[in-house]
Amino acid sequence: MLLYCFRDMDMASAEDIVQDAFSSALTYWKEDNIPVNAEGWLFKVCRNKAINKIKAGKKLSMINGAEHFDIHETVFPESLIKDQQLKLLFACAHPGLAPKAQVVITLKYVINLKVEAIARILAMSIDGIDKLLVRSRQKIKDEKILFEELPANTLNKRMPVVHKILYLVFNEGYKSSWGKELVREELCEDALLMTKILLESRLANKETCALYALMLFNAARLRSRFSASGALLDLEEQDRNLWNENLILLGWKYLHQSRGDVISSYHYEASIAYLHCIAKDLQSTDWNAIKGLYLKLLQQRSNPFIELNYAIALYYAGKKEDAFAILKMLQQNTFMSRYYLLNTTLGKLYLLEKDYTKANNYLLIALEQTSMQAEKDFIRRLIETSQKF
Amino acid sequence: MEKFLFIIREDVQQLKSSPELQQKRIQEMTKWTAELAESGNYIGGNPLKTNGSYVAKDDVLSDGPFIEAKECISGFIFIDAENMEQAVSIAQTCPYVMDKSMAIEVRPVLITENNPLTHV
Repeated sequence: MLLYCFRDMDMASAEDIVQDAFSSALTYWKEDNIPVNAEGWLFKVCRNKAINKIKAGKKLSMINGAEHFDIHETVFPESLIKDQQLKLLFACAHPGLAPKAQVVITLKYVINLKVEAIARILAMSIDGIDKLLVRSRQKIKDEKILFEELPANTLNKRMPVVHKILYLVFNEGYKSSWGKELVREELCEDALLMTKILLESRLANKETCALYALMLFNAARLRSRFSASGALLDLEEQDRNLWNENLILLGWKYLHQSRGDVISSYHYEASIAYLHCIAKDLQSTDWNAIKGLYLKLLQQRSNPFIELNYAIALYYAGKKEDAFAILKMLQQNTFMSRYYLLNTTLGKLYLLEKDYTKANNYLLIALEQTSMQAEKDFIRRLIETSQKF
Repeated sequence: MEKFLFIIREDVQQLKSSPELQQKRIQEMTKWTAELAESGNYIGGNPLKTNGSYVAKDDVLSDGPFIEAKECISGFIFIDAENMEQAVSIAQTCPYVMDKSMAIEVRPVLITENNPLTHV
């Protein structure tokens, strides 16, 4: 925000100033003394500090202190903040950056997370995050994309990238890998919030609706993915009573609104999530439709990771032979054969087929392929089941 | 979207001497490809075995010069990216490029218009 108002300032000084302002806030705001418009207050402090800094710089170079800055009270309306957040989001969607780098700078500059938190969420080293930030920052600086007013057609062109960023941010929160951690849920909420802001802007399109619906369906199931003791639960074990009906209904509304000429991957994924949400249990789920939707996804963009999901849907839809044929084919690929979810899936399906020796073999391989505790515990539970027989 | 081939180069001699190290690195690369799949960029790929033959213009067969080289081709990945700039940026996110133990050559795939072979 500061960068936007004071175009001659560099990112590092802006970050210093904001940090400074926050420490002032901590000093001045006693527990019950928080100003009504806290964002506005913070911005005012930041702005004053920035002006002082610029003044100091100018004094040094010109000795002439006659320059006058008009500092007056400004109320900082919420809508402007939303606007600025959107602007920053579109800046982060620079088409020359890798999706991962886009996610990192969005977490840093739009969602305002610390590097340490980002590193933890993305399971990366702080050094790795810093490297990505330095490269991305260089690109931002070179192209001045934070300061530029992007023309409407550029904004529209960047919409798919913005959608992808929001999708990836949500997924980082949704992924099972980090167990019951508060950060994850907050991240899902942040992604939902930003998507909502985007939806309310004039830029939103049918894909935004589909993406929002997808997030809502998944958010509805968030609480049921772990047991009371914190164990990771699969779809079959989840208590469907915990699924948030309001979110599902809201999701359905947006899925309905997303109908149009273009059917994006978000439309397919949201439809799959919807079919899971409305099913009473695993058996009565419309696997035939889900299988068809995965096939559509594969036709749009084929990769072995989607094929794995397609095979699972095929299995539950009763096409067991086809399912195992795909899984066998995926095993031929070295990357896939090292993927814990492929081996976990093979283990689970052989368990259902009552072939306990094979199930056990695959699960033992899978156990070595993930380092995440919650996932290891989940696989161990399956192994115990396979050894009961 | 354009298609790109990532030609992965690393010290194959070192990998040959330690199968455990090779396993661990393939494992990490798998995680990375799963990320690329999530963002819709991954198409496919495979690591390569650490042996090979070199067929030279003069009909002399050898296993060099590449197998012994510090930066020998150890695998390939096909990806989709917006443009060359993004493809390069994606290659830079590879954990082993980050720790400087791997190099990736990024080459756009030449696809002639109206060519039915649009997927690789």
